[in-house]
Amino acid sequence: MKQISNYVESKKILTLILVAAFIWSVMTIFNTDQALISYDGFSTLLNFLWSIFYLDITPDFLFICFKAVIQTILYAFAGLSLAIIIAIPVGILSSGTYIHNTYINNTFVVVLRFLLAATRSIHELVWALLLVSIIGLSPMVAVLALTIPYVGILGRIFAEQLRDVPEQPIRALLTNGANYPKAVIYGRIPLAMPNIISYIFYRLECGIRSAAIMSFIGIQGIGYQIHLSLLDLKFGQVWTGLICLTIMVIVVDLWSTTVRKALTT
Amino acid sequence: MNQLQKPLTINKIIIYISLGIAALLSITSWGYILFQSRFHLSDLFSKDTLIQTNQLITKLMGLDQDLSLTSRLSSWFDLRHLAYETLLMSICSIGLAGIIALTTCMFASRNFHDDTLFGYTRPALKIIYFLIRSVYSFTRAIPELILAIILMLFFTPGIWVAAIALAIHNTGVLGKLYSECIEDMEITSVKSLQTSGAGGGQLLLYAILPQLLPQFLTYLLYRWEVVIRTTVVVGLVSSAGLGREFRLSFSYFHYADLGLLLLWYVLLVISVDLTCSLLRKLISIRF
Repeated sequence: MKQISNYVESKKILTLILVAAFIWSVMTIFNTDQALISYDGFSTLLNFLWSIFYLDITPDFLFICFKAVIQTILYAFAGLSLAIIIAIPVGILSSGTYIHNTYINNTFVVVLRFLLAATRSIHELVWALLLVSIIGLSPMVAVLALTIPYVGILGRIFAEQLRDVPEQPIRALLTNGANYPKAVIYGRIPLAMPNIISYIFYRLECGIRSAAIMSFIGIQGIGYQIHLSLLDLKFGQVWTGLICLTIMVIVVDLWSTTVRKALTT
Repeated sequence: MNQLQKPLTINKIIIYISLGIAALLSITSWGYILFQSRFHLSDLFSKDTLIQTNQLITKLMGLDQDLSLTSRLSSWFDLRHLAYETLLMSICSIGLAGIIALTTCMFASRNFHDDTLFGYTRPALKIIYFLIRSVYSFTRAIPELILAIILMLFFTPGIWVAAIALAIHNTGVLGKLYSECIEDMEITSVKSLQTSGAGGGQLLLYAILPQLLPQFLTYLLYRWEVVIRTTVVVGLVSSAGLGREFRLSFSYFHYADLGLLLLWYVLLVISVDLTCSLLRKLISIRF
């Protein structure tokens, strides 16, 4: 009984700490002498919101937006496909189920997990900025910058899925004389495949959003168009771009939910 | 028909067609990048790239300048207020997003306006449902960076812009996750309270929230991990926290400072990840 009450107490303390951290952050951030809203900011805000009724739907601009959307989708797919190709072997090796020798296996697992965590923890735009200073501004930068963090994310998920398959089929394969690699290829991968495909389709939406923000380093796409229109202060065009972006994300989202539902039922 | 061969269901057709489309799009995209954009793979795998990478890493580690380790450490420690600002920004934004999502998510769940939860349909709430859901979709679709660029028109540059941009985006994400939670929840406890004569507010407080709070908190922590990664990117445009210094040192080619900032950034991300996994373990304890 005492342990249960201890848990309840610790949860209450935890809640208090979380709420206190939030209140502290709000008080520190918004309690400044500086004016929060810039000079003339409020009228600009109204102007911006009002211009949703003045959407730029001339065929020229819609065609530009359509082209930009296609470009963004292509960048996302290039980055994600490369990430999947790299993440499959990395995920298998870092799941610790492929190599029989304990020492070699443990070294692989520790090193690869560290690398995956490192690539995952840095945002794709930061990678892009670093890559620009290495290979210069080219479409390859956007693709590689998308690929590097997604290898980290997908590799970890692949490893987890391969580890968490039901044990009985694997044991049946092993007792019948299959070695570890064969157990992975004929047992673990087919069992984990639906979950892996589901996760890849879930990541697709995030990948497309990430591709859209590659505009910041000057890569073509819908984000670039929105940025350009915003710099021109053409708010109608900005709204058109935002709506195109939203439709693109919603369509991809619908597609991925359909596939994931089909996989689970 | 062979006994082992499973019939081709509609679900399988959907999956195969989707995989085919995805493969086709991937191949098309590589074709576009390699041929359309005048980029050669030989540029990537050349000696020049290797030299540039080596130079960048040397500069990031500060090895090209003649600096002692203690001075590097002290200049790294001097940047701590930026890391603190960034951490505050992430906590504030995720808190704001959580509060807004929590207060609006029930109106955005389908079983709140049809008859599964309350026994009668409420057409007025259906309009609110569509409104809130479309707002969620809109804010979810727009990346934080673009939101921050737009918000910079109205606000003076500072942490608040980044916090609000992150909060707006995450409200959409969390709201959708939360309302899906409510749609999938067990409704037996709701029914039993309802037969005892509880009203809508009481149902929410005593049946829905106690059941779903662990799930809500888990999603909140998951989003916090994402937010702390994004803070630096949003800071790039709204001149806040680590992002501001990041951009400045990048523009001045102060790569040694950039390395120190990256170290803080990675440290923040790792510590938040560890905190989240600890909190998640605390949440999942059942008794």
